[in-house]
Amino acid sequence: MNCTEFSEQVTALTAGTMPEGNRDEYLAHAKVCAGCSAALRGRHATLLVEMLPLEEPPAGSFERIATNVTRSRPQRGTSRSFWSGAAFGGAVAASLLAIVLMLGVFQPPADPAQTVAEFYVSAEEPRMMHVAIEVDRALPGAEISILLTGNVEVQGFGSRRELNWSDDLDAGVNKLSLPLVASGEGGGQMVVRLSHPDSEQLFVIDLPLDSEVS
Amino acid sequence: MSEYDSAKSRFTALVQEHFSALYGAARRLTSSPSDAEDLVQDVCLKAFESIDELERIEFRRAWLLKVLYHKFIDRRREFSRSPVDQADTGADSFEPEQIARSEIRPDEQLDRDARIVQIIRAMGILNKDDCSLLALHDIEGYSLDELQQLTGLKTGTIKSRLYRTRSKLGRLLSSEALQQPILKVVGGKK
Repeated sequence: MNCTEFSEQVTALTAGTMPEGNRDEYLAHAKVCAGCSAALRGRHATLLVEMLPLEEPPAGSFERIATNVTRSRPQRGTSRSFWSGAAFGGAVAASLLAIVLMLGVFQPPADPAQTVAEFYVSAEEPRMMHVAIEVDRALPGAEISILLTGNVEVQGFGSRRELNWSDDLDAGVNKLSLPLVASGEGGGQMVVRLSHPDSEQLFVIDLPLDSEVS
Repeated sequence: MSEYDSAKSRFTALVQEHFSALYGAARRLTSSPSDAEDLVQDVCLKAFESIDELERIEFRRAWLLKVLYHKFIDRRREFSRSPVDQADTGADSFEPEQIARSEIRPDEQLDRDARIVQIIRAMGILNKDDCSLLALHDIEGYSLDELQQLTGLKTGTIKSRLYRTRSKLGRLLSSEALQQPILKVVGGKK
């Protein structure tokens, strides 16, 4: 048994289609070979993804996307911003919101806290909110804080209400994407605090529940 | 026929028959239908930009799926820069017999859902070409011969890359860093 032989049979081994006698030999090899052991784990992972059911696209989605795409002018070799859905209009407008937060260093903040926009959250599915943070020069070590109130969560962070971290902001537009999901009735608010030794800004974003908006 | 109608007609002729496969693959990789649509729209834009090339391609669905996996990784990197090193990231603690057992008990279902999230996350850390090659073979079911024709790589090279990428994915899944949610600003004016 060598790694090449193992690699060729890893699918059969993972799928359970390998004869019992051979199986023991391959498993014994995986126990002593770190590379093949990891490959077995990797193949098991891709098998789990392969086993996921294939969902059908929503009705009308091809026509909608085809219209969006073909109305844009082909620009070979150009890079698009991360506003992939919003750039094309209404196709997924309910799930996307572009918010530009300006952190003007060397300028005093206008208001202690400004309400900048609304974004509708849903309990049915996470919705990605894209936030653009624009700064007029690079800000290494900027502190970013997000405080959630009400029944809204950042997907993957469970019931944590406050997230704090430090990051280097580049001059220009910096991008932050947050998958938000409603955890109950009433929606909530998100407070974003951007701070740096030169400046601090607070922004409040209303997060009403989609079903409560008429 | 106007220029717009002509462009839309060409696009529809090339892409529509593969749309369900694209959406299905995207839905496996994303947490919501709207995210899946966003991802597919990225792929469709690339297809439209490359429509002359797409008309010449034999394995059109594979080409579109490859773009989809590339765009998936682009999007993952926009959301998070993982602290997980792509090199060897830790010891394996599993028993090969557990992994080789393909059946899943009902009480393992919840664990499996969480596991899928980790797997998708780990796939998003892989090199784009490696990830798409692995996904086309292991998940989408393309044969080595088909991948050879699609990529122009030798069969031995493809096998070697599949093995390396599976190993890398397996090591990433062993990494504790992968268990923690990651939130980062992705900076830079383009």
